[in-house]
Amino acid sequence: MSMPLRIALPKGRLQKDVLGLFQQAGMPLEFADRSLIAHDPTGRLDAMLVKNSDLPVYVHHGIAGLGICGEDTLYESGFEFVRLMRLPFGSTRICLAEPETPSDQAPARSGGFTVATTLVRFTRDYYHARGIPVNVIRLSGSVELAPRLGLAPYIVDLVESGATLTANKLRILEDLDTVSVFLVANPAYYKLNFRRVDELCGMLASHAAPEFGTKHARSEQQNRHTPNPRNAEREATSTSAEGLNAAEGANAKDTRALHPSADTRRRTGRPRGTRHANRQEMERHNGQTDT
Amino acid sequence: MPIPENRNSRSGPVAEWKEAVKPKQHTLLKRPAGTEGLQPEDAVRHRDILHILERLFDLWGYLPIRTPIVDFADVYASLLGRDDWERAYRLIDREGDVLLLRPDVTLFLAKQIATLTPDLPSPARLYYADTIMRHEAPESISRNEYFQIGSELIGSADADADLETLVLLFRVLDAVLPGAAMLHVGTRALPDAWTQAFSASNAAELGSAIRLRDLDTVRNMLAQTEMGRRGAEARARLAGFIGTPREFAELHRTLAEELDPCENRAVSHAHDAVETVNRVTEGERAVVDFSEVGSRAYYTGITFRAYVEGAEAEVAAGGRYDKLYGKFGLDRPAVGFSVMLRRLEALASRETTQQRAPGTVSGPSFVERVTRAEERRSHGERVVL
Repeated sequence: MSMPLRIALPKGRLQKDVLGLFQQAGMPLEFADRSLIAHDPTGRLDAMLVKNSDLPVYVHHGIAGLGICGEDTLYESGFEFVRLMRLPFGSTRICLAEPETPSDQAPARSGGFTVATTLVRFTRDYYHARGIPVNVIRLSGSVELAPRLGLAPYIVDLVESGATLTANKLRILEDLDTVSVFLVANPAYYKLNFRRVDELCGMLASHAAPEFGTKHARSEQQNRHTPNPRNAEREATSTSAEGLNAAEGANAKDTRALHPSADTRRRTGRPRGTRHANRQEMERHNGQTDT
Repeated sequence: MPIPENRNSRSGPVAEWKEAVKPKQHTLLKRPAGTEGLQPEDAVRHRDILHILERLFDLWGYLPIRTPIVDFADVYASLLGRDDWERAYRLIDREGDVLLLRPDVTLFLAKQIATLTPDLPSPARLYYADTIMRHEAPESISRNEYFQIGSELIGSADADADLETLVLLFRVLDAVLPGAAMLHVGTRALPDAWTQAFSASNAAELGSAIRLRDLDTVRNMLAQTEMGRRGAEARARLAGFIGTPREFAELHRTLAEELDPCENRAVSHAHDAVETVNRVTEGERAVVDFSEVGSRAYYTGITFRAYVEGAEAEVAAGGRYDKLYGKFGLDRPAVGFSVMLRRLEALASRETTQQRAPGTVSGPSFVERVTRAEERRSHGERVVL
């Protein structure tokens, strides 16, 4: 008999839904007290529970051949995976937010639009694909505090109900993208085990979540949207940040922005350790002042 | 007259220079990402496996060739993909030219052949075994992309040249890990045909979507071309196919009318290659896989990758690149492969290459010990003084 497939599952908010999905599909996974490893009694799966942000690393290195993870975490990892199946839970939004009251807003830093976020790669690529320079401040949690404490005037963060934003007196300026949870595979692992992996996908799709098929069977409606921070096609829902709308509107009509060229990051980014002077600094440098 | 500085002084220009060149703790303990050194045990295994493979190439009539470790970067800028270009180490020489540390042997070899030996007889069979240097992210340093050994069959556009390369690759992999490798064979001709009207970045995006089996993106991008929804659906099915030649023949029967003659020729060629390779290798370990389109921008025809259980990424990759030599002024078709040897070595059994400890000699004097050791060495024994 062939070896069980190895799958990494995320601890935390997705854990209950993920275990429920395998239970429904006839592959119950029971983690004994504090144990992080479980075996499906049918012998199909060996599962390991790992921290969500570490999951892409385990799959990338082939320690686990398969994994279940949100697109935001997959994107931030920078690794390439085969996305096998979109799962019917855990969808959320990525939003740009600012303080409800302008007086609470942190002062803008020189050199452009500053955002605090855990989603550094997404935020940088999202705005650069639209030709908007952005200063990104990396945080690893409690992003909502950043504007109130004066770290940055804006945040980019995952938003489910919006209750956390409201509790921290923040409001959504713009929905940047929606993210889904995917069953993914290490590309080499998939190539070696494609028949068994396809069979697993079929079981999950037909027994547990028939409305969410494998990619091959997914409905046309779902196919229309593939979350991608470089996809500048969608209209901004709203924004009060002056200059962002204009820059985004101009780029939305530019087909290059749909699929940014290799140089997009260079055009809109800047080398580390350098910054653009803002208008006041330039004028000061040139000995001119506004009166 | 200036007073000469005391070389042991704690201040002054000499002391400043000493401070500047003193190794810092982090540079002392780290090494540049994407490089490695081999400790004796690994070095022995590397040498032994290399010896086995060089002997194998020799038996197949392939001649060794060495490429320079650096070359001028601008020559390769358009030939490396964006990711490869960003991962390549570049430096500036004294004349201000930007140099590229060898990130891929095939590219350096193509320039070397085209510029130095344009009258090379056709077909020419060459092999190389060299280090490559690419930046690796800290999270990826175990990917073992440090040493490539590979073949180049230059000057033949025949299907038999593709077959020779595929079978030789199997022999190389089996020499290190017998019976372990699976070979997935596809073709670059399909995405090349589909992306003729695409911009370079859109073509790259489609290639990436096919490689990562993101068939929704493939379907949606192709549906925007003149092939329409139905044509896009057929081609997405083709791009997602992995299976035996027999399984592919069944699919092909349903799709053949939808495809144009060029596409049909390309898929039939990959099918026939897999069928033939499976006849001359054990275990039917080659499959047809049209998501194998190659990650190098220079591929033009058949493309393939080899996978081994336990390796986190492919252990070998290759394909046909009929226009690469033309970029350097030599119009020759070529096909070849590269094996990431360090990735294979990590999986090779230690017993197969384990070396017995050398013997020792004793004697009253150094001269006598040398004489006794030489005698035993002449019989092939390893002896230390």
